[in-house]
Amino acid sequence: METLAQRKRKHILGETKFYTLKVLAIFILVIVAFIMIFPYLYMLSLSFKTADEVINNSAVFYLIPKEFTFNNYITIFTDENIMIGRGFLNTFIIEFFVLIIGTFVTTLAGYAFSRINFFGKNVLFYMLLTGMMIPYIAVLAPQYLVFAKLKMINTLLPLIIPGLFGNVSMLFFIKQYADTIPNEIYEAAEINGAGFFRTYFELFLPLIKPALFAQVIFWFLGIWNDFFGPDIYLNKAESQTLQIVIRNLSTGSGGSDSLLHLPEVMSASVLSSIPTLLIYIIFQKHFVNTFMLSGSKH
Amino acid sequence: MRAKRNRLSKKVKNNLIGYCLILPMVVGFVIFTLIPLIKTIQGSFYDMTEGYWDTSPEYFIGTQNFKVLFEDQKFIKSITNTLFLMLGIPIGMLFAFLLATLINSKFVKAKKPYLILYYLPAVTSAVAIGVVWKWLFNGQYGAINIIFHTNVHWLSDPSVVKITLIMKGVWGGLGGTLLLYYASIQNISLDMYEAADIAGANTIQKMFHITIPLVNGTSFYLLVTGIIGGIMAFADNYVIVASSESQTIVYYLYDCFKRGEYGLVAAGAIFVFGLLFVVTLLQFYLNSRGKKAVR
Repeated sequence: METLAQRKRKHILGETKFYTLKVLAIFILVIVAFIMIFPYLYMLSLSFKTADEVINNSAVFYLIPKEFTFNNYITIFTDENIMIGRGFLNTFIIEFFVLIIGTFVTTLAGYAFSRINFFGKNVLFYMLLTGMMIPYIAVLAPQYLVFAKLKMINTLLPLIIPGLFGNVSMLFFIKQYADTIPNEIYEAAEINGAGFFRTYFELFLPLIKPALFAQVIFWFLGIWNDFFGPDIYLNKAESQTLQIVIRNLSTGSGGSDSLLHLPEVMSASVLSSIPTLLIYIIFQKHFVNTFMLSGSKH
Repeated sequence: MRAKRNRLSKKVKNNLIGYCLILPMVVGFVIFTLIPLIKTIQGSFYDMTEGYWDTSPEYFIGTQNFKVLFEDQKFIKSITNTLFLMLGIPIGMLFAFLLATLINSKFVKAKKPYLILYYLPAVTSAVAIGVVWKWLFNGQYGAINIIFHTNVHWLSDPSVVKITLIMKGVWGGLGGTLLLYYASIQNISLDMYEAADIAGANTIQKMFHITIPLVNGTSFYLLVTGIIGGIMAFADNYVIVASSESQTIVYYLYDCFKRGEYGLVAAGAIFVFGLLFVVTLLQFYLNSRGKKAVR
């Protein structure tokens, strides 16, 4: 048995130890947090420096610009060789058509796989899922050559058309979520004589909204950040998406892979990151939930 | 009799509606996945080096494409590069696990900000953040060399560049890996730890005997998805380095594609697909064995 004094001493000792460990823990986490955001600070800092400042101070490192300028942001919109506005527009066009039509198509299939009993349902569902396992490189050349035959290279169509046929991982999550909705809810609607369309629009869609919303965000980001497809299909400046514009700016043919254009590259990167970071920060709950869901099932 | 017919017609109707609703996705699968995949498998046995997709009999060359690939030192190098870059998976898992336990510990009250901050790279495009890394690690002007007073050619020295890419991979993947570990640790019942406390276990013992075994499923999942992602690695290398020294398999095939050597692309793609297939099968096998062992 411990005496009261012993216990008290242990408690005090424990408290000092506790605070030391606490400080240490937070110190480590803050350091890591700094490492995580440092590239973003660097990006932001360079985007506000003038090219002269970057070149003249290339041997020293500091984050706060001496001469604060917005010119880089203006240049990337006005310079005819950069055309970042066009990049934004092209990315938005792809997003618009793919997200609206693709999501609609996917929810229809999600409804069918979750609510309707039809012959071969499971086989078809798993067949679609295997599609996720097939690497893009394994379908790339035949796809490319068909689009080339249809004269669609350097148009946005090869990036839009496949998306119009839905998204398998979205389908998977919708089905997963919809399967947890109790049957009674639908039965009540059926007794009232609601047909497929009413059940789909008035019951199914509102019920799966949380899962659907998260998936739409993920798909939006996927298209926004995609560059393998655009890199393959878009070689002309007018048709390039935002990511391709940035990459070309950073490795451009005019020898712009130098300090001279660094601030412009960085301001383009900042602009391309703002929408995704904003979406992430506003909807971070959805990200965390969906992400954890995707892992916990396995 | 009428009731039966009614039920039958309802069944037919259900089938009909079901097929109509899934039709677009199934058609999409057939057009954009199934047919191209079959064509790729077929094409891997044909000689198509001039940018034409021609599978007429006179171009049939058997397994010649595979032979060419595996006799090309650059392809072999791309395989070893891909494997080497996968070292980032266990490193990232270790960091993420340690940080997740730290965030989950009683020492840290505000847990959310760390979880949010660490996940930032996952929502930024590979290009936007890649160009930043490219300049951070620039051998001449890069901030890293200036800050640490080093003179390392992070991106052009063949013996260093892969380490730079591993660091980028760990940095980018940390948030996601950490979230999964964090969730998994939170699912562990506190009773376990209390029981261990009563038995007089210290922190290290608790970690090795409770936490690590109980997050095994998550570790396994992370390892498998990490390997699958690693096999298909392309973007970082392409954006940040763009040299053949650290080329991955998919990057090598991308080059073949740009040269119009579709036969080689097809053969290489079959190889990549085979690797993914083996990993997936292995996962199913180990998963089912694991479940049996638990029972």
